[in-house]
Amino acid sequence: MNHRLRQRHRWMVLSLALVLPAAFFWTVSSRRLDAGIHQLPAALADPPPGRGEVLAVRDILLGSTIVNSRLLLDSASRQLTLEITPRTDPRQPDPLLYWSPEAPEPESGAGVPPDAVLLGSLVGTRTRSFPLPREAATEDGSLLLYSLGHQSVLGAASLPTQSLLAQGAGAKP
Amino acid sequence: MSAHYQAVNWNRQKYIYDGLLAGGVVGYLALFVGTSFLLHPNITAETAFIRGLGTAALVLLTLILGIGPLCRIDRRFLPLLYNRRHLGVTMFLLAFSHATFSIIQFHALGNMNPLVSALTGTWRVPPIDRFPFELLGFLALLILFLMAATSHDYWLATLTPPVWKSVHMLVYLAYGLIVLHVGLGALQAERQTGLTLLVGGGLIVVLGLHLVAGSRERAGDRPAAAEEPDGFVEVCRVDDIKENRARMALVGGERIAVFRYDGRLSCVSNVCAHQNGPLGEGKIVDGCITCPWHGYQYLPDRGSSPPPFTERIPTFDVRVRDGRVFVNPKPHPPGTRVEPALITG
Repeated sequence: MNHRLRQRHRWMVLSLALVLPAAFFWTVSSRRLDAGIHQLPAALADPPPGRGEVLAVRDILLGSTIVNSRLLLDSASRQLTLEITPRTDPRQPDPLLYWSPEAPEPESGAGVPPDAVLLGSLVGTRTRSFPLPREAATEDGSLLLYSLGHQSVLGAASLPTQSLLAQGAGAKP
Repeated sequence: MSAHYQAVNWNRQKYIYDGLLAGGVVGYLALFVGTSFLLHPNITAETAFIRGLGTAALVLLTLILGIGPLCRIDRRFLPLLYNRRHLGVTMFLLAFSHATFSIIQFHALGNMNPLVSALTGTWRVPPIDRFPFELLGFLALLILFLMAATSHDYWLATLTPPVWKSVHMLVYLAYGLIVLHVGLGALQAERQTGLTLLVGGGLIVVLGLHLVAGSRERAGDRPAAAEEPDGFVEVCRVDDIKENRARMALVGGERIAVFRYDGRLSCVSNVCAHQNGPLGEGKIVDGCITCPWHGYQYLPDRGSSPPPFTERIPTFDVRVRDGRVFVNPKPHPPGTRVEPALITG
């Protein structure tokens, strides 16, 4: 290598030695590992509590995750709302919660039924409220826990909304 | 040894080198993916493979950057340097595969062009975890592509070694971009201790080796001391040069190499015509100066490769007086024969 190239090489290495370790240290030391949760819009981070009469309070097993649930009925609009609080984080890649009129066998490799309705994400242990589709008021259905990452249904639990509606407030504990 | 385009001149050493390289890459990927599934049972195969490709490219780049200074520090690493360009091309292919699969996995399912999505999707600064790290990786990939595409003797001869080396020095910029690509990307998403140690440790090794080798090299750049009335400068004592070896010195702003062989001394430029390798770190083999990097050879008194090869390097007048070696800083045109100085007494 000629002298000029060697000098350029030397300056490049010295510049790299001065700048790069400091820049790398900065990227590692200033990372905010919980940034995703803190940056959620307020409406999602703190969903408004469901309104209406409590029809049922149940613990549901979805795959390996137990969730506390409350089924609420807004008598004015006849809107059913499901309030969900996972006891533990599902710790599955991209967990999504569906309501479906039918329930596929979990772990069978089957996907989400075509008439299933997406309720929302089930990441973390926050309490959140999901308005159920209108069909839930007229027919029983199931809750499905689906992993987008695994592309498979991880768990299913029946949600007998029609019978609970028929029982009315009598289903409360 | 010509500028005509030809495919790789395969030989037994290159077969062994590339076989070990291919086996190492496949083994690393299998080990990485398998370990990922053991440590993170919920990881998807695609994500494990994408991470494996990225870390394999990073490990290979760290190795590539370490080879140069390692060879300066310990000559036993020279065989690694022989086929370093194959390492570079392999590293580019790994990085390219990492980028391609990442774009397909994370950006191809929307209604936006995947490349546009990858390069603009997180363009928000601050906060730091939204820094567009994909852009840093993309810029590094462009540099690596330029280097991989010109990693052939055809381009080396066409561009000339100084221009070719200037282009390939961009690897340091690419390395910096990749370190920041990882630091602002994968390391922001989750606490990956292994990856942090890989990048941080690699950084320490690469920079440490360069600084050690550079400090040794710097000693060789000190100008020769005393100058004679006729312009000759003293470079060393005859006894400082071992038989069939050379002593390097900085004369007239460039490095020269004085070789001792068969009771004679000849002086040539230290810069190999092939890839600007340090001829003075080589030795005389079969009567020819032999470059330690790729084995290019030159007749010591002529500075030209033995026929039928055509490479030539500048030669210098050299003389011996009172056991001391003097060199005229004014070079002769490449390939000019210069009478060797006889070592008497």
